[in-house]
Amino acid sequence: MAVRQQALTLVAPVRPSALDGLSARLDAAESDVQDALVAVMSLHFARFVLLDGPAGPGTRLAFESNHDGDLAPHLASLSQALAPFEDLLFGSWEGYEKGDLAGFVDKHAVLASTFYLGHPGLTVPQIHNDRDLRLQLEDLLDDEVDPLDLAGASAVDVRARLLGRLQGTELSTGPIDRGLPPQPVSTIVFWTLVLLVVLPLVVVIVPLALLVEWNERRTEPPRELTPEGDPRLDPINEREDAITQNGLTHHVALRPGLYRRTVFRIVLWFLETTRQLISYEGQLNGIGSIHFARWVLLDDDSVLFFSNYDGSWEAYLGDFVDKAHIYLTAVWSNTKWFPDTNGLVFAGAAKENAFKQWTRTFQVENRIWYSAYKTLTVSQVLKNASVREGASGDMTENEARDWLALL
Amino acid sequence: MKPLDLADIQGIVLFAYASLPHARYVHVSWPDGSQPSTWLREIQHEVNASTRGVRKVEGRVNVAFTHGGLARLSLAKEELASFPRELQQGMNDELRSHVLGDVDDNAPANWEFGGPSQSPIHALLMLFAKNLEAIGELRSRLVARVTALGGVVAHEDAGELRAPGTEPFGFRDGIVQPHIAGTPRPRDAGDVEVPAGEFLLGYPNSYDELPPSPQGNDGFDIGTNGSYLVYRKLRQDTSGFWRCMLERAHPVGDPSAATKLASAIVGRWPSGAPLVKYPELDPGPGSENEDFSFEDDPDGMKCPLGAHVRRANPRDMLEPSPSKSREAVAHHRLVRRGRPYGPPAKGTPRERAAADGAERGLVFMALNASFRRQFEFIQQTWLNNPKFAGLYDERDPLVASVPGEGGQRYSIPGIPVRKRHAGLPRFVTVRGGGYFFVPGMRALEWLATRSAGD
Repeated sequence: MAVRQQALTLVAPVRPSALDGLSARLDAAESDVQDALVAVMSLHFARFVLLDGPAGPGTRLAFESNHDGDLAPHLASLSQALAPFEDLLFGSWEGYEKGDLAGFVDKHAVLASTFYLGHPGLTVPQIHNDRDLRLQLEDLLDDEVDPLDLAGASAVDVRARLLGRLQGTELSTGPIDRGLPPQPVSTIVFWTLVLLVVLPLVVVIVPLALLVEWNERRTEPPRELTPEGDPRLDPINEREDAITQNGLTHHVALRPGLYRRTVFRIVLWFLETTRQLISYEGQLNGIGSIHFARWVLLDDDSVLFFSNYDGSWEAYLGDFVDKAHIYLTAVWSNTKWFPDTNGLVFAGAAKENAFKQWTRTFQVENRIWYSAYKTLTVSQVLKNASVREGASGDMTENEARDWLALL
Repeated sequence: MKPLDLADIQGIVLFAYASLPHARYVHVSWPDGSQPSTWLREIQHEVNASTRGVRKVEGRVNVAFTHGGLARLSLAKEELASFPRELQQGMNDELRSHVLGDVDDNAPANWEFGGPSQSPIHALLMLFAKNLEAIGELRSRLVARVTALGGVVAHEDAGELRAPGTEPFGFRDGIVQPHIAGTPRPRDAGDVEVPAGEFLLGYPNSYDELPPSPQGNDGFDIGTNGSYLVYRKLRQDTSGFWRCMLERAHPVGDPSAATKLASAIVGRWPSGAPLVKYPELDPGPGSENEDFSFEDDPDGMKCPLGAHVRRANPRDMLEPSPSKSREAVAHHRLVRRGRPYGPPAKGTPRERAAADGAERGLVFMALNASFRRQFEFIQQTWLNNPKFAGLYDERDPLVASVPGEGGQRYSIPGIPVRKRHAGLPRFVTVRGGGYFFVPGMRALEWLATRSAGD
């Protein structure tokens, strides 16, 4: 049966007695916590971050996990693996009772307003299995088969020889049920539906947006964005691009007023609804580098964004500007100091330099960040799954040729 | 479109000076007590703009400054802070090395110049002339002015343009250049026109925005008609490269098989003809300028997916579509002004493979309006990215500065299966470099007068 990937977000104030030196203690524990989390087989990505200042009054500790299947076994597994760090991590939360992570989750979990998944239906053990299988096949090709002797050989034969060598492996092969929607809604039907729902909203929202934007430009105090060369960015930069993937944490307040609060909710509802309807595997608006991402609206009307993505920050933000600026503008134009927009969705994130500077201004340093498959990009996870899927059963010459081209 | 203010733009930004094949790059350090501002006031009228003189050109002089050099010219703290972070930190900074992949042998600590423990570079004099005699005279004249005012030549490179534009490995180079919109010369076939603001401050860029520009406290816009210059001296192990190609050729030692393998690494034949158009044989000179697309070769059967030409300029091959790819690639272009150094390498693969002990390579120079979005992006996201184009663990086989453990891997797709080379050595080593600001002519004048007398 298909296993669903889920998002858990916990945000709660830090106990005053735990504040002292908390960020340094978290940093120091990071690599041990990463090692411990390997035991949590349901965990894809996780992070701990401090919001609202590194360790002042009002500081909150936020935790995210991207996990497989039901919450209860995941929490049990997390509690067990992190038991040596319980006082430092969960114990820093105001109101946390020792040994009762599940009880704390009941009270403090925040639902993500929208949750994006890059490779749905693939569990962590499955992703590991597929990676190892592909590595074995690549090694076989490198060491035991000389491609030059194979010139002219049929793809079916080569595949059979390769799979023959695999015998005795404990890795699983063949298709699995990922629980993907059987038939995505056709694009035309989908956009007709969207228009029917959205058009009336647009007619109301856009003129209002123009008015609100005009008023904000007139009345809001000037932006105070983080300048070039601000040393605050150094630790963030130092953490970035060490491995294939990165974790972006971004936290910004909503602009004041009913309009902004309402529009933000409508936009995120729209994104979440379309996400569930469209077959979106592997790519989000042409961006193929996001494993998991979520927007979470916190009860103090601030917006938390967590993303686990492949490649450099500069490439990721460039993709935002080039391919997704309309959606991102619709979401983030409702937040503080966002670059000037036109009618809710235009300008804003299309202003490359201003948007990147704004993103950096509200970027938060991760304290502890964990990935269960550090060397894999989204496209590799999916490609490995195709390799595994095609590693059993019979194939035609063309199918075999396409399958060999995956290696 | 805003016309280019040619009289205010230094010539190096718009011109390659192809008629002046000899170049000297003089890296100057200004120790305490020296007089850089006086020097700049003295030489600023010799610096060449982009206007074309009618007189017979004997030589050209251009000048650029590191962030440390700007500080030496007595700029105020806030003025210095308005320059981009990459310039402030410098190419030898740890964070920049992290982004550029300058580690191990390529780390700044191992550089010949510009490293963290060497004399700081403050200014770069770029001199160009028709012949050796002329360049020698120009060089002595300008260096004499530097030393007379207490400056020190910290490092010097000689670059030489060679007909017909062949780099030391033996391949045609410098073929594709973005054509800066508004440049007073016709566009070459195959060159894409790029908005001036990608290379020049003060003009709209590919996002139709003005690039951020450093500001003077008196309201002067320091950046206008200026550009940012990347300088990297890259040693090329030409004999090692061809030895490796001959060893891995099939059959071993066969020169034409070695050339074929080398071309599969570059993505062009030695003549410059692109592999996607001529997958089997080198058609010889004349095809290098043809425009081409990777659309018909999605699996890399003609030109491998990790080939140098794809990584340096992916054209239409990036996700999600060819048109989106071209749009995205337009945000990451460089104007290259590099020249080879060292004795020319000539001959057959076997002759090139015989080591003569001479150091040769490329003085890589490139202009952009944003180090971060252009030069560093290309380096990090394309050349050194082990996951480029869906590959698993390979970097640019020709120039990558981070060899994987046990050397590089390189896959050449084929039917029925790919051939994956493992343990490829590094062929290119960074010997030194820096990030520079190339001021406009008015900005030079402004810079020269920050300090009343030094």
